[in-house]
Amino acid sequence: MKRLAALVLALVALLPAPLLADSARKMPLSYNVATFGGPGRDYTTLQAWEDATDNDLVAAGKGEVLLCYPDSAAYAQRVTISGAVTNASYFRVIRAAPGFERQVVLDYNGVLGSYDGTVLVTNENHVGLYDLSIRHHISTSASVNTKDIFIQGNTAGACRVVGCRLGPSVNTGSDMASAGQVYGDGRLVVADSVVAAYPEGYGIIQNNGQLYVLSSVFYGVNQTALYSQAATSIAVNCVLQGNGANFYGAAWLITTCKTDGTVSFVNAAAGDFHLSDTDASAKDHGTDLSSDAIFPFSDDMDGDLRPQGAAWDIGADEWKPGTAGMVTIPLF
Amino acid sequence: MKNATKISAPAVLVFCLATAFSGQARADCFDCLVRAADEPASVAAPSRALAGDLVACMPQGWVFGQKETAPEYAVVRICNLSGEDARFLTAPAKDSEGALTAPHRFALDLGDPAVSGGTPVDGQTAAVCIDRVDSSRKTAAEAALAARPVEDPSALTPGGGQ
Repeated sequence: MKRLAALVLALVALLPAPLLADSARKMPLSYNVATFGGPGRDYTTLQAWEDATDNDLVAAGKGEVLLCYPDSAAYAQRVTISGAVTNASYFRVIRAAPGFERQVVLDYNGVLGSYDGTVLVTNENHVGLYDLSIRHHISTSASVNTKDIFIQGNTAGACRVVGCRLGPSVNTGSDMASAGQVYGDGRLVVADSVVAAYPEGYGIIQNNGQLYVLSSVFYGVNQTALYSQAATSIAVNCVLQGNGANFYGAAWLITTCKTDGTVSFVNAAAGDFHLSDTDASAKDHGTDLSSDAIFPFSDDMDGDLRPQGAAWDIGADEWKPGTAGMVTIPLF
Repeated sequence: MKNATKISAPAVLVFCLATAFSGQARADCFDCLVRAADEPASVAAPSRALAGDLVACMPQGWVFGQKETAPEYAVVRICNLSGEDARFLTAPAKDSEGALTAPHRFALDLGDPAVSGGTPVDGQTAAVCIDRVDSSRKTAAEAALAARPVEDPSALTPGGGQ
């Protein structure tokens, strides 16, 4: 038996590395874990965790991961992420705990300033936000430019929004409530995510820095879904449907995105952006990003491997026959 | 209870709806998580949180987490404040270009008896909030007003208001 086990181990060691696909949810090489949620968790406030992990993660050789559970009483929360020393190996991640993908809702109820968001990342690199629902809602009239996510100054490493649901935006009286903004040389990767139901504002705005949008859905954005003012932005495998406009700016590099309204979802009106069984527009029409130079990955918003068919699907979901839909979050 | 004035259920409903949608601030109490000690000196400015910093303000009775406790944190109750005002108390401090200057704009003066005395802080009258922007002392209500974003019509374009 020992010889057999040794032989198996030797064979496994010889197998090529790509057998394990890259997840879009990049994790630190080593990390500490804390929990967020209701009573009994480590933290009930995002900002206290952020403060507690404002450390030199590189020197410590440990990243910091906050696992979020949807057992907190609903209340407005926002967080400013800034100050930890990070690199591509050791960084901070806020993600849903396994089994609770997109069920943890970070929702700020109030007016935010122009440089702010429910999640504000300023001058910190490589921050990961995975499998969360992030939104804000406003109930007072205010001419302010407010967002779910605001990214600025992370010049040495992009922040990553993966498997997230941005929106719906609930705003009464404010003319511009948008999903995200990249400003001040910020860097942002959005992958396997859904940006939906912004009845007043924009999807994601890029003033400068870099915006890299992969395998995501932009649906029901009143103004422009992807707005780029400055440097080249990249969109691959995205579905843009039911928006006031899809793209703004001449600098977009667009590859295999669907903008003709033909993609069929399971139930977009109810927030389910899985590809329907009958869809023929997005299935197997995407670009393989598993060897992408900037952000290689091989899974979808549910963590399912891509591709399932002959080629990658377009959008956040890789269609699999006979699988249950993702958790549906009512639009309003 | 026999002599209590009878109020019909529809009347209660109307009152509740009117209150909820009136847009008027509702005075309440909030349990605010306050840093009891400075973050280590190894944390570089402007991200370093200091003792007294208001980290989060949650509804009265909030059960904080296992790591939101002493010696790093204290909980101070601030009353006579609207929910919206309570949220503004935990805003970060930024300069006019939007760059972060401190992780928390407001701090409570932990040495002030109005804070350390064990009784709730009156958000309208007790000037115990230190504004990190100009080091002035403010009541919680004044601090919230100072942190409220300025309405700016130019913000209504994607690059505007910046």
